Amino acid sequence: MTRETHLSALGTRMTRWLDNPLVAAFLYPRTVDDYVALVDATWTRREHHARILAIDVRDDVVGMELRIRRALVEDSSRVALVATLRGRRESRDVRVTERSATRVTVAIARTRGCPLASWASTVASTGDVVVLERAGPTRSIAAKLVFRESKVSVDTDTSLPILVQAEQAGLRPTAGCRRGVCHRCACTLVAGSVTNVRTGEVTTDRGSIIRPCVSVPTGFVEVDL
Amino acid sequence: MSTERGRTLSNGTLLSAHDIDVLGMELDAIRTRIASQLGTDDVAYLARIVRAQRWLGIAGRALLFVGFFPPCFALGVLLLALSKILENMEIGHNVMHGQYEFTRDPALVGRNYEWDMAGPSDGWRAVHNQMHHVHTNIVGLDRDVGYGFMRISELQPWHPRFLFQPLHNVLLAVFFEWGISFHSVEMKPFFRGEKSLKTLVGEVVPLAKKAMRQLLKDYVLFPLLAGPHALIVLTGNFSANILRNVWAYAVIFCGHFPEGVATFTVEDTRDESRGEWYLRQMTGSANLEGGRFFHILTGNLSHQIEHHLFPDLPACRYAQIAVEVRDLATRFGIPYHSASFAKQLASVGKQICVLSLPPRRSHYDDVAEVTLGG
Repeated sequence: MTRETHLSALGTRMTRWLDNPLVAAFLYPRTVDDYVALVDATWTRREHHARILAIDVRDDVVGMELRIRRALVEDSSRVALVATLRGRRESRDVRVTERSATRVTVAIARTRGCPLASWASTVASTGDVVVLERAGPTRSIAAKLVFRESKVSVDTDTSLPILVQAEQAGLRPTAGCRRGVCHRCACTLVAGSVTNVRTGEVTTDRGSIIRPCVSVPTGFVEVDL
Repeated sequence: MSTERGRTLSNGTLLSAHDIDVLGMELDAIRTRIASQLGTDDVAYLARIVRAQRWLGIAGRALLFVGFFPPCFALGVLLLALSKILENMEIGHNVMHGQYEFTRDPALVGRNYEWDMAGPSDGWRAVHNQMHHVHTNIVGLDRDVGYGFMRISELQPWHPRFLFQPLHNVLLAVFFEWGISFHSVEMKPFFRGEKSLKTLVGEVVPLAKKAMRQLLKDYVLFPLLAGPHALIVLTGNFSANILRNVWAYAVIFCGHFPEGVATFTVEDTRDESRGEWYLRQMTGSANLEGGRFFHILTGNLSHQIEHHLFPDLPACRYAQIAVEVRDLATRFGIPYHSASFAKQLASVGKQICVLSLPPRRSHYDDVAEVTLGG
C-alpha cells in the first residue's frame, strides 16, 4: 500500500472516531464532515467521495480507477458517478468493471453530447475527487409521477403543477406562496424532466432542485416528496 | 397579468401600467442572463467564504482558551463573532434562499441547511422566505414591518406602547438572535383564540430543542473544556454572540426602515402584476454603500434592493446586478434608496424615535399621501 492509501485510511478512521454525539454537540449545527472537509474531502462520511487513481481513455469508453472508502453494495454492477463540472454536479450511471475493498474501476461510455463523458476523457485528471451514489432508478416508460418519500405514484398530468398533483394524491408537502417566489416547497428531482411554467425552463438533470408549485411534469417524473 | 392602473411614486414619477410591465420584463431578462452565467466562480466564492468561516471559528475559540491574556481574549471574541456573522449572513441566509441550488450539491440545498442561531431554520424560512419576501413591506402581512412590536411605518396605527420603542429597539439589537428566533412564533393569534395551544406547542418545542443545543455548546461545553478558564470562555462566547447580534441588527434594520422607503397596504397590492411586485421590492428596500469587505460582512444584504428583486440568485452577483438595476431606476425615474451605513443607520434611528410619538395631524396626512402612492 502506498503512503497516500495509508493516509486516506487514517483519515477515514479519524472521521469515524470523531463521529459521536459528544463531538456533534460541540460542533452543532455544523458536523464533523464540515471540518474534516477542510483537510480532505474524501475523509467525509455524508457522501461517498472517491479519488481518481488512473484514467484510461479508449475510443468508445473511458476506464476510471477510483480509490473508495467503503466497499460497494455487493450486487451493484452499476453506480452513479457524480462530478462537478463548471460549478454544477453532473451525474451518470456507469458500469462497474472491477472492484476490491479499496478500489473500483468504472467504464464510462463516450456517448456524444454527454457532459460527463467528455469531462472524463478531457478534463478529469488523477487526484480529482468524485462522488459515488446508488445508480438511479431504471427509467419507467409509463407516464407516472412518483413521490419517493411518500411511496405514492399517480398517473402524470402534464398540465398541473406537481404540488397540486401531490395534494390531490392526499400528500401534505410544505408549501408557501404557490407562485414560485418563496422557495418553501422546493424539492429534488430524482428522475425525469419538468417544465417551470413561469420561466419556461426545462429541467432534466438528476438532483436538480425544483419548485413543485410552478413545475409541471413533461412525462415520467420522480421527486423526493 | 396587466392592470389598468398606473402608479405615482414618492418622488412624483408617474408610471403607467405599461411602464411597469416593461420594467418587469427588463428585470426578468437580467435574471435569466445572470442565471445562465452561474458556475465555477460562484461556487469558488462560496467555498472561500465557508473555509474562512470555519478557520475563523477555530481560531476564535482557540484564542479564547488562552483568554486570560487580554489581547487574546479581545481577538478571540472578534474572530468568533466574524465567524458567526459570516455563517449567519453570507452562508446561512443565502444558502437558505436556495441561491446555490444550481450546483445540485446536497450540502447547499436550502431546506437542508441549519444555521448557527438560537431558533430552527425551518421557522425562519417560513417567516422570512415566505412571509417577508413575498409580502415585502405590506403592513399586516409582512411581519418584518416592526417585527410585531415596533412602529416603523406611518401606516401602522399609533399605540401608547410605541412610546417605549427606542428602548425596546436597543434591547432587540443586543438580543437580536432571540428576537429572530421567537419571530417565527406568532403569539397574537393565540391570545385572540385563533391559534390552538397544540399549534403553539408545535412551534415552541422545536425552538426550545434547538435553543438548548445552542446554549449547551456556547455556555456549557466549550467553557467546561477550558477547565479553570471556564468563565473566560463563557464570557467570550457571550460577547461574540452579542457582537454578531448588534451587527446583524444594524444591517437588517437598514434594509427596509430608513426614511423614504415605501410601505404598502393590502389594498395597494391587490391583484399585483409581476412588474408591480418588482416595483414594490425596489421602492421598499434600501442599499448600503461600502467596500468589498463590508459587503461580505453584511452577507451582501447591503445590496438589499437586488436581494429583494432576485432573492435566489447568488449574493456574490448583487454588486454586478446593482449597476444595471440602478440604471433601470434612473431610466424609469424610480427612487433608488442607497447611502452609507452611518447615514442609513442614523435615518433608521430617527424613524424609530419619530414614529414612537403619536402622529401630528398635518405630518401624518403628508406622509400618508406619499406612501400610499409608493
